[in-house]
Amino acid sequence: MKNKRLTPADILIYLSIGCLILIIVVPLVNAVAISFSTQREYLDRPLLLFPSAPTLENYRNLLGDRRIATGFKTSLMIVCLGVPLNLFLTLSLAYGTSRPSFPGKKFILGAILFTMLFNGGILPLYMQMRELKLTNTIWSVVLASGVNVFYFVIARNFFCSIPQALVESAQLDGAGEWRILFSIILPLAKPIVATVALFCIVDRWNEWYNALIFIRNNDIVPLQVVLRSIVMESNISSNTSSMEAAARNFDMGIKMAAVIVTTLPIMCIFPFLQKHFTKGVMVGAIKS
Amino acid sequence: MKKSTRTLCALLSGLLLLMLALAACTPTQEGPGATGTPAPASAPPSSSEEPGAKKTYDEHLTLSWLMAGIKSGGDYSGDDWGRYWLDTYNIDFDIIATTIDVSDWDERLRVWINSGDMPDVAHAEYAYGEIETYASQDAIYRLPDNWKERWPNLAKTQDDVPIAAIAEEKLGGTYCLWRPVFSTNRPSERLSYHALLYMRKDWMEACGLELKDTYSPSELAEIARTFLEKDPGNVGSSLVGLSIRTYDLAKLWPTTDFSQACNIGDGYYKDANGQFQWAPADERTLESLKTYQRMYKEGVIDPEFYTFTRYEGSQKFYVQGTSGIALEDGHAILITYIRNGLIAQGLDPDKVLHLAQLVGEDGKYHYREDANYWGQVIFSPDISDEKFERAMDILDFCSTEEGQNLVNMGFEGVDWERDENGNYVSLLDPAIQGDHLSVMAGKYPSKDSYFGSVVLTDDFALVSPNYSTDIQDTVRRFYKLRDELSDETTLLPREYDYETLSSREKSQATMDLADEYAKLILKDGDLEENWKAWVAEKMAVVQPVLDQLNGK
Amino acid sequence: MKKTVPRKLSRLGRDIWKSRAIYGLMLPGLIWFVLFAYGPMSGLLLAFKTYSAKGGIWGSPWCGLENFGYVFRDAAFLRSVFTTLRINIGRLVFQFPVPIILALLLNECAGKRYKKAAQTIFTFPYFLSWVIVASLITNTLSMDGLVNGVLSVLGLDKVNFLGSSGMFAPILYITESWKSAGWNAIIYLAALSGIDMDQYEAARLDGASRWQTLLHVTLPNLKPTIIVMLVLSIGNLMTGGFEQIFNLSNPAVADVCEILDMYIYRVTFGSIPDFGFSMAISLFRSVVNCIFLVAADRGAKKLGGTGLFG
Repeated sequence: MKNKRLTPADILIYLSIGCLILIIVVPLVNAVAISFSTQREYLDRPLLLFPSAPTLENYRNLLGDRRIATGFKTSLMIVCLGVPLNLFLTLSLAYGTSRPSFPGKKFILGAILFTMLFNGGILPLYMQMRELKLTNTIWSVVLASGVNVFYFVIARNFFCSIPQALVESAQLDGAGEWRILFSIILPLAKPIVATVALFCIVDRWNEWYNALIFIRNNDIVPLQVVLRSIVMESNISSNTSSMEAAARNFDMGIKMAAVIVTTLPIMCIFPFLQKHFTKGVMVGAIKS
Repeated sequence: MKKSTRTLCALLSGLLLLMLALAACTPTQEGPGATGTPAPASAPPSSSEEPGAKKTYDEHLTLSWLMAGIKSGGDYSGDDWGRYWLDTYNIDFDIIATTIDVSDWDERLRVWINSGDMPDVAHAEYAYGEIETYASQDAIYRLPDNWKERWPNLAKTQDDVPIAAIAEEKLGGTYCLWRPVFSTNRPSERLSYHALLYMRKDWMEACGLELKDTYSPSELAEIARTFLEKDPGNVGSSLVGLSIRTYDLAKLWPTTDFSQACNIGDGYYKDANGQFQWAPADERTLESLKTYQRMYKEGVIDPEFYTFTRYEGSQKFYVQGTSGIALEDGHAILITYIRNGLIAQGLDPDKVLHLAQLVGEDGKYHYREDANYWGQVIFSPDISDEKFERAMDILDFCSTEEGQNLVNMGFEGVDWERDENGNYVSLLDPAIQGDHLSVMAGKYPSKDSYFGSVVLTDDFALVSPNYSTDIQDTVRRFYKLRDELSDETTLLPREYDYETLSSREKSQATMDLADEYAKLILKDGDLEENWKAWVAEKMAVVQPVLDQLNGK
Repeated sequence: MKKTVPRKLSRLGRDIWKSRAIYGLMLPGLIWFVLFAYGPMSGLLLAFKTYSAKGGIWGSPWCGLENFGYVFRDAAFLRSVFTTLRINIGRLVFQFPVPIILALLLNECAGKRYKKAAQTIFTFPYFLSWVIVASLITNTLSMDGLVNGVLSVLGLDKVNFLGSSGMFAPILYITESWKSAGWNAIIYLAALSGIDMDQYEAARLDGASRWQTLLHVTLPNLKPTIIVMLVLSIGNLMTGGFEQIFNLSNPAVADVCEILDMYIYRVTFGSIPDFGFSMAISLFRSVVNCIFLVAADRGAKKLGGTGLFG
């Protein structure tokens, strides 16, 4: 639709993005290469970009552990349960508080913001979970992070920018608040919904601290906790360690492999969400 | 627009359904008996391996037990070794496995203890003060007063740990079992730290340097200079002198010049008048730090030693071969490990590895005596009498000779036997390679290194037939040597008055002395002035601790 | 007077009734907040108590301001507060704009595929933990690392990056930007894609240049998001960066790297757990953050912006 010729500004932008890609990619390639190399090679050439004798040893050590499958299953479950819950709670609150003033709005906003700044620490949270009989279940991990105030603020900020007239005309048509949220606001707010969804998916996928405290049962340990254990076990220490652990002690290689194993699934869903937050929305078109 | 709305709605409701469906099949079991240890309780004990007549247990119990340093998911019903325990004690284990990382172990257990939700039995690694705090709050179980008579073998292991008696007296009862490093196979009268110098024998021979059992820092510096100058291994520009990490360098300076300044015990010591002093503020520390700085500036020490992570310093010795001298832990597993590293470099460890002891310029060994324990076993304040007794029975049996044999070597006649001299002989498949722990685990997957152990595996590692006798002899020899080369002014006694002090003042004065020493010698400007300013600042938090110790 | 109060009340009642649908909408979220955010808030009381496992949070004895007394007694504590502020203000100046610039750069990029690929790549480093980034950095910046290799090829003197106090803060800003600028840019990209296309069309018809469009259409639309992010960052000045600093620090830079979290780590690591002391520090930090946040929000509103809550 526009002319295809590149202006000097375009070329400049291309080049600068190219430079940035290089700065990002070279260390990343290095990380990937380390995951395929031996300890000797890493120590001799820490900045290697391609291992001279690639080995799958690090991946074998990591994935050979039978806890990995349990970890994947649990993490997937936490994502499937947690992300819809996060989105539901965060977006409904964000939309509710973006509506023109109603009694108690300021109080609610203040109360939500307060929890971003102040928290009582892990001990009372653990006791609360225990009270609700949720410890040692994945619900403790799912429910511990219901609303992220940061995402709430971002979503609400976006909802506020949507013309109020749209909502009002829908109300005149007799639509209820839930209908308005789902059929008018959310489609318009697709970029921000996609963003918050992505952030929530990543947060839930990387969940480890809460799980560490709340879950003792080996059968419901999330992936990150499993990977942490494997990486730590690969470090020899004066009092534990068997020869088996000692013999495969290339912890940096295992760490890199662990990163790649956890990041790949996220990177697979990234493109599906990406198209929503990089494509412009035709607000005007919807209005008419 | 309508279409997108509908898809979105469909998507959301789909997710909601998925959520519900998953919720329905989420394992929501909790409490005992939930984990993957199916109960084979009814199985009769295998008669051939039953060692002697034993108490029988009618009631089936499940013990939740936190163990650190083991892999999770060990199935006790999966092999003979694991079944032995389940059958003999009519029990199931709900094992909570953690790594030995602080965040994984101490921190989680801390949350559980403080919220009154502790496992029945837990291996812990707490400072005395923390045990004291929990004891005073009844947050951990107080053992019945007659426990020593009821479980005599277990009581005997506590005699190996000096702090056990002190703690019992201070707390007015037993609240934890201390886990001794050495018990029946103690290698020397006074226990020291096992760190050794790992040196390249072939390089030293090529340079005409003398091979000895002990080296002082100045001798090491001289060897490092020779290596750097002659480069006997043709390493080239990546050759470094002493590749020792910050923590271990403090064992050279100031420890070999002034033992009291060593980082074990945080520098607090009793002077001739019985008054507590803080060694880092002493002029002798400054003098030694001057040597440290001179060595660093001269290039004898690796120029970027302060960036080393745990093993990076010694890896230059045993993986890369770019250093000829390292100071690293010297227990059996690590010696084996470093030898394997040399083999991987294509070297013969017998030809290239020389092990030696670091001593001071006075030829004496300088450090602080080892406390001979690593962590504790504690019990839940809510544990039932039956569960407690069952756990104590297991621990007591594991502390007997018979129990140690079973825990460390497996079943007599199946996995090991005695020769005519009464020495242990392993019957395990020699194809299963490794140290004494993994050899066992190779046959019995349920065998975790810490099962039932109050006495740590270090003790049995010195006599296990599943281990190289050469290495066992080396370890023992150096323990004896350190004992011979020291007296109580160089291998300092533990200051239990300091170790059992628990106060906020002490917490606030916490610092890593090795890091602080490195910081001082790396700092720009005059070392003496920097040190004086540092002492002035630190004394503000240290003086209140000294006042408490000296009863002011 | 007597008449107006009931009338006010009844109007309030009417307003509440009128907005019942909104309350219903927010109910699930609010229940969550009550259960899992405000339920555990009792932990804040520990700042004024001596915790005992037996008494729990409610039963532990009060100790007044004693915990705070201990916190403030140590000179290292106050120094760590200032170190935190210094480093984080630096972050605000050098780090905060990076994702915005990145998002604008991507937004202006004409090649769609190139842009998408670049954006995907930029998010990758976010997934590396600081332990890993720190080891990559150490390898790159050590005396025989890549950067010094380049310097010596160019005939310049080698620089001791890792051991010099002056380089520590810049390394923090650069590595944090490297790691998370791409990820944080997503928020700005989302905001950019929400801009009404009509505005661009109008600008094009007016014959505005690319630069003018950026200044007069893109940036004004991005402004509310930037302000929200800025206010949130200012309200976070006392927090953050522990993982990064913990992994990048070494004895040579110990004097410039002890931020508040490092101080807490040093004092509490391996010591007897002191929940009162930890909570007192944490409460102090929250209060300072709160003051900053409110001030920043007011400031933003004064300057004609929208502030945190529109």
